[in-house]
Amino acid sequence: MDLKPTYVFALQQEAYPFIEQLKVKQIHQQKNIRLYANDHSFLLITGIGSIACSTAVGWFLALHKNVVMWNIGCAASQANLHKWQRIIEVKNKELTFYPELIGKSEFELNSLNTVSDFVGVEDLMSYGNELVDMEGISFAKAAQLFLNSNQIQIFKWVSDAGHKDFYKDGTWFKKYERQIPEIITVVDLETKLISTEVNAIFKNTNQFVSKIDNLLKLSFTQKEQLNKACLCFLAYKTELQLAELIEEFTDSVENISQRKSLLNQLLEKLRHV
Amino acid sequence: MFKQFIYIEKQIAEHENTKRVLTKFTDAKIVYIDHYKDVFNQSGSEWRLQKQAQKLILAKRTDHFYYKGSNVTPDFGFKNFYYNTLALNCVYDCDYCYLQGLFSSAHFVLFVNNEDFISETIKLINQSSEQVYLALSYDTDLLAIENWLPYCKTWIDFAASQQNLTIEIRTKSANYKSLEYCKPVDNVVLAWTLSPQEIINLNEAKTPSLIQRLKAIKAFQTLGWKIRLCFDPLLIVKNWRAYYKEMLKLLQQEIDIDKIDTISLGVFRMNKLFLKNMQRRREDTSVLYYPYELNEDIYTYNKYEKEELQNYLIEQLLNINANFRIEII
Repeated sequence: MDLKPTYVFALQQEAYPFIEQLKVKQIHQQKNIRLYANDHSFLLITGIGSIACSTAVGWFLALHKNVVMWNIGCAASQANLHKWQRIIEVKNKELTFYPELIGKSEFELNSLNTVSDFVGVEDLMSYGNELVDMEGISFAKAAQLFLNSNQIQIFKWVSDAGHKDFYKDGTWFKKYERQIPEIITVVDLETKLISTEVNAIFKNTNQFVSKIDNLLKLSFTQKEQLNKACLCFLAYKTELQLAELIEEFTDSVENISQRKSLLNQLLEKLRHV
Repeated sequence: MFKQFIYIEKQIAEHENTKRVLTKFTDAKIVYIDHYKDVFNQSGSEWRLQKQAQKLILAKRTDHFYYKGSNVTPDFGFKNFYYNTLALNCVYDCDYCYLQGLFSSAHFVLFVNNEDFISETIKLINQSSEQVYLALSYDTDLLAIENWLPYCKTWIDFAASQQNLTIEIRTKSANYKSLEYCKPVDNVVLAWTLSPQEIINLNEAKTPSLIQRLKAIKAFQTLGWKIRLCFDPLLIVKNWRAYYKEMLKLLQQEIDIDKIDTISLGVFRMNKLFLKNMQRRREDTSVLYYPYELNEDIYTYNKYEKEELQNYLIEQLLNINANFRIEII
């Protein structure tokens, strides 16, 4: 199972350079929700605010589970202007989420506060050097209903220090898009790493169990026993070796009248590698 | 251990032990949290992925400063057998470890308010008419993290002042240096869990090798410490007899085996619920998928396998020294 990276933005303007660089095509639009895709990524635009974000994320994840969700976009802070930050804590007054980093981040780490109204220069001071946005916690909490915490990640770019109209002169965009290739590289690498780790933990033995089930008509308990024995085998040997052993076994069976004894023979072989 | 950031409960941010640990993680960013369970019990955690990038959480324990020992642990004849949990989870990564089934998170919680553990233990000792046996390094390996926080040393000093207390520090660590200058104390037992090197390679990730553990034992023996050897869990793997025999041969070469205080041995055994949780969390180790038998909510080898494993080890051990004190679990 390979997990796909999904880039999640509130606004079209934030998403635009990613759409260009990822070469994703729009595959769905419903009011403010827009979904783009290519062969190996999704890109979701949710609209501004908590309700829009959680609705879009919930809708998307009801359809797609094998993804790593990356919330990306602008945030305000009185420090680190025009820098990308990796979020390790996202919170509002009631809720908190701690994204699980699985590798060392090359980007500076920070906490993100989600608010429901615009925060001006003076109010921003109460957040110290932390970041402030309008979607982060809703994104995380909606995603958490569907995914493991490793599959929920956040990157924010410090767009302003409490200046609502920062985007009006258009100069912000050049600064914003400068490091986007690096962000895409991190997103790709970490998504692959999570996929690899998950695939190393969980093995797919269905095809082998099915093959024996077709031959011996196993009960539910026998399927469970066989699955566990296959996992025991796979701890030492490769999937190819397991396929060979199963093939060899099915070829050797001439009479299936002694099903239980045949299954026990196979289980013994699998368990005592 | 992932050292880029550390979670710290706000209430112990200024605690002396917090500051002490932070001297070992000088570049780490600190995330202040209300309660360790906010991180530790966060829903949707993937245990194995967390273990790959295990985070440190510094916290304050507010209750349960000790627990009564369970029926699957050795009590060495002590009626008042207790254990405490100065930390949750371990820096090592053993495939068979029950912690994978006990906790929903793989992150490492270190309780810094040792003074509360000590004062509650004093109350326990005062309430007990018989000797209290307290296993310190229970849901963790304290000697392995002695360089961060000298809990073993602190508790050894404490035990030295308490006649009615015996403490056991169980470890797989080879961290001899951090207790090098501690004087041996009669009512402190240093206990090493040992496995054949082949099993260490297969099932005990991130732990010191057998030879490193034996060298640490030898060093402590030279200083006069009371040493217990724990062959636990005994595992059935291909060629297990040869592996265990080779391990015992190495023991005879590397340590003063006749001076061993006690030996405990126990085959793999696991609470039914824990094994179910562990199997749900990983499919990459054969230890969890062996066809164990269920007996009174404990999964373990069948009677024949159990006896074969135990008897083989006992026979080999008694051949080395017929006077060994062996406890079978």
